[in-house]
Amino acid sequence: MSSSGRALALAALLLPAGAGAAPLSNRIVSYRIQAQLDPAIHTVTGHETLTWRNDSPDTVGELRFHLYLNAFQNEKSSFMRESGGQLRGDRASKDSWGWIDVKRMRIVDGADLTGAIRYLHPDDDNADDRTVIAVALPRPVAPGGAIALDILFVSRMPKVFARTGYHNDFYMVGQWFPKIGVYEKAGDRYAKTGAWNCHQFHATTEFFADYGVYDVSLTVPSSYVVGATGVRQSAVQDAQHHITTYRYYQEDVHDFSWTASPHFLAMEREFDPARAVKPAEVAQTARLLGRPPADLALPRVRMILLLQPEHRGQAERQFRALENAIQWFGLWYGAYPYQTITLVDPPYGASGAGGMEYPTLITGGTNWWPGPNDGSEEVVVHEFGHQYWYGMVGTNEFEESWLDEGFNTYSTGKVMDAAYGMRDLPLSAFGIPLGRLLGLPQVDSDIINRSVYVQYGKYDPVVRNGWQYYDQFRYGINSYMRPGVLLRTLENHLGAPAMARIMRAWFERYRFHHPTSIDFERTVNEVSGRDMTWFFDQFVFGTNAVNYRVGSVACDRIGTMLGSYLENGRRVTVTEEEADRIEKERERKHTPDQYHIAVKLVRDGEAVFPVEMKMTLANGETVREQWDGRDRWVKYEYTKPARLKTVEIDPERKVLLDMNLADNSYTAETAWLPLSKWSSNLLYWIQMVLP
Amino acid sequence: MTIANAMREGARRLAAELWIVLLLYAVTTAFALAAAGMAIGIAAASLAHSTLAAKMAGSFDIEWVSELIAAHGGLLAAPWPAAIVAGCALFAVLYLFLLGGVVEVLGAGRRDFFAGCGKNFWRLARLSVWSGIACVLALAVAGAVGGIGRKIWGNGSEAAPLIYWGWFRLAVALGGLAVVNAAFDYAALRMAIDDSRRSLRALLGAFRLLLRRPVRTLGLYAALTLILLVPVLAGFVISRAAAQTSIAAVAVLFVVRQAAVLAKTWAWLLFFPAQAAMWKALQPAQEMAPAAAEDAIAGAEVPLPPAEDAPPAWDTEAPLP
Repeated sequence: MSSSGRALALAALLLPAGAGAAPLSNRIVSYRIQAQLDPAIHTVTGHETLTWRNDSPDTVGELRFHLYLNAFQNEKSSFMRESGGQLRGDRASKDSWGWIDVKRMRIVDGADLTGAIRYLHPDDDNADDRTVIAVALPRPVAPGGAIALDILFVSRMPKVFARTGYHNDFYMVGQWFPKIGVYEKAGDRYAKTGAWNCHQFHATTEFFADYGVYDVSLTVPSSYVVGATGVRQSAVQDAQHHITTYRYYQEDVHDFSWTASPHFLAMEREFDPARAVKPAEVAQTARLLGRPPADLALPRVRMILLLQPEHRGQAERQFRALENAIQWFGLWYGAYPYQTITLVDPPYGASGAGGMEYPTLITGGTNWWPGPNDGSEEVVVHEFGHQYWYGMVGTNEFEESWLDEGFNTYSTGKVMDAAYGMRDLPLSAFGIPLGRLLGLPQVDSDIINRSVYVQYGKYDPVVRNGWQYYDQFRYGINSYMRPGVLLRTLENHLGAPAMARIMRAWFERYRFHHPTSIDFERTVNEVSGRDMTWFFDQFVFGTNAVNYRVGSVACDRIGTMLGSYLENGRRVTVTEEEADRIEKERERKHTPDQYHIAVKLVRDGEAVFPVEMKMTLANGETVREQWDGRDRWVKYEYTKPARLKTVEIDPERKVLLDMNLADNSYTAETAWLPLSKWSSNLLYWIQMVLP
Repeated sequence: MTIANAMREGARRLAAELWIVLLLYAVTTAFALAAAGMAIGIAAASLAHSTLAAKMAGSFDIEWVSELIAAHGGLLAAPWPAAIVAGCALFAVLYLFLLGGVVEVLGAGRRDFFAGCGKNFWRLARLSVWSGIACVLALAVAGAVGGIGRKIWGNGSEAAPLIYWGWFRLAVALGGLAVVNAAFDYAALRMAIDDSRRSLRALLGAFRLLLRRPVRTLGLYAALTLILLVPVLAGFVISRAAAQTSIAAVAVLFVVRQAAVLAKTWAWLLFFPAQAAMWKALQPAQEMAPAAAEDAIAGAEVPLPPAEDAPPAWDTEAPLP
């Protein structure tokens, strides 16, 4: 077969099985995998046929692959060194390491490449890290050409840790096969020249891959219930060996994961927009977006819930959360295009596998007795949200984690607020909702996000390689809450309709692409019609903090002034006696007092943000001023017929990025009621705690 | 002696010394006032003239707390954790000091409260150390119970058995701590009554007593705990139900809650005379002799072993030995 003929044949592999509908993505890759689970030794043996298409103008002589599971093979990997064997409250087992061995790699109908495999560590100096390999090709792949590889591999699953692994007979199989990196041509994202983007697996990074087609056959013991990315095509039972092979197929995704357990309670329900979505909600969103309601039509989606049997009582909550997510993400950003969404409920003891996203498959996590508000709905909404921010808008989670986690924190918050309103703090002990019992304040997403955001410490900009943040805590804040707060501030600044249109445009333009923070900035500027460069420079690419405060307030009655005045060409002296007389006369005539009011506003933070000042007088009159916020301080002076009552900077609390909201206002009256209430409460609780 | 009789005897004894209730209430309140005053001082500096305070009057704002922490460069860098630890240590010393007077008057039946404070302070301090070790052992037992559960069900996928077991482990931990606490009380009372310095011996003797007569001793402890819970829960329910929407409402609730605190102080002090009565009733006359003999060897003052039908040593109407 000639090289061009082979390229054509290989390219044909990339076509969808049910070809006909236009591809949603450019389908750089195609994976055909046959995998068999051996629960006795917790291994998955796989045979992978990968077809990769060179979509660049470069001639590519080397391929790079992720071997993510090798992050768990020993304590020398970068992941384990960075995490110390702990992630998200979960600890790696010291007696169950995970790894992936490439047994053989060869070009289909061609040379064996196994001996050419070498390990790379492009991100750090850790030569012991084995999560990235490079393979030199005997013949480079020409621009527009394609190559098909035949790969045999064995993946040993660790005990559940960092999203993947086994717990007893439960398997969450993620990052489990040799996965090719992303070749970025010059001009793609930040690439100046063509190069592979294939990072090591770090404790604070997730994933990045090209879109394509996955056709995966999974062979498991027949007693196991299986869930996976995509749509199940067939289930073939081998009664003699008590095994069943399930075939799953999905187009236009960039990863594939699956789960298996003999205990899963499989439940299915259809998201039916006619039933789930109220017409008023469609009309309201259509008005917000400035689009006809017909544009917001949502398709039906098959929701598959793989629940632990003892969590049966939680099924309704889980389905409802999923429906809320499908509805609001669909209305606001665009319809969910896949046929299925599978929600996996990991068992007790496997929480490390919970709260994770893969294309069309997410893991949540609930409890045997979760209490009325354990936050499990938020997990479901958040993980579904990643179908948009990560799944379809395929940003690079290694380099710009805020574009998936931060966007999703913002979007999740909006869905939660819309669907569930103010909520108890998710604090519970033995299923008892402590927040409600102790009368702790209810919260919404802004309160939660901002409470964490203010701890960001100015160490890092939001945009930074995931493994280069000051520490894991700062990675978390800069990836989740700080972006959540800054996007909310952006929404408040531009207005809800403008922000809704920006987010919609962002999704519609970049779904099934790999956009960057710069692309988002361009989208914001273009859709809003305003230059928001100053915002991005300061809060996305910079570390500066906003903090405005009321510096000082003076309110003095203007009385009769003593002194010598030139009036009509002759000197008049106002003595104290004369002043007293004038004052008494004013009092007798009930002449209203005049007050001189001077307000100084101060910018304590390094960052500049235009803010509004609202001054309220005792007679109810209000005065509003717009301050560009550039100078370190500004002074406003007035002569008014009433005393000053309050001064507020940013009275509508639009600038949530402000680090200290307590000093944004001044009230002439001391807050005796709250202070006395808190004093009494605090005194009482201390008295009760003391013996 | 029945549990009810012990409680009745304890209440009678405490009624004769109500000033101790007032003293303990005053000390606790003074300490709480100082702590609350410092905390409210911080709040007032930030919020006294902020409109945020009015907004927070209805519902406390966790953002403000977070801002405060951030302004100090993080929770650990803030001065409050150290201040809270120092305050707790200071109160622990004060508590031990006063406890010496409590057991002296309500347990041993002597009249000089403050002499008892001074005399018993180091004895109780040593007893606290031994009790602390006993607490660690109790928690270790609970930990071992947890370990057994994990051995049996730890590799399973079902939550329910481990959750049930977790509750059981919690009960073991709380029960263990309660036993240690009861033993501490009996040991403190014994040391005061015997005027003994032997804290370890007193604690071991108290454990023996609890082991020998668990229904009477721990039953009394449980009954006293229930009584203690009454004002605590009443105060909690009233606090949750009352809306403090005006200064007058704040003042009314303040008075009601101080009554609850006073009741709680009374209920807490009731432990000592009631348990002293029970301890006394459960002591076989001959058992006092070895301890007294050892104390005599150690140079301690030797109390006379009370006769079985003699009036209790803490009965002020009876002549002191």
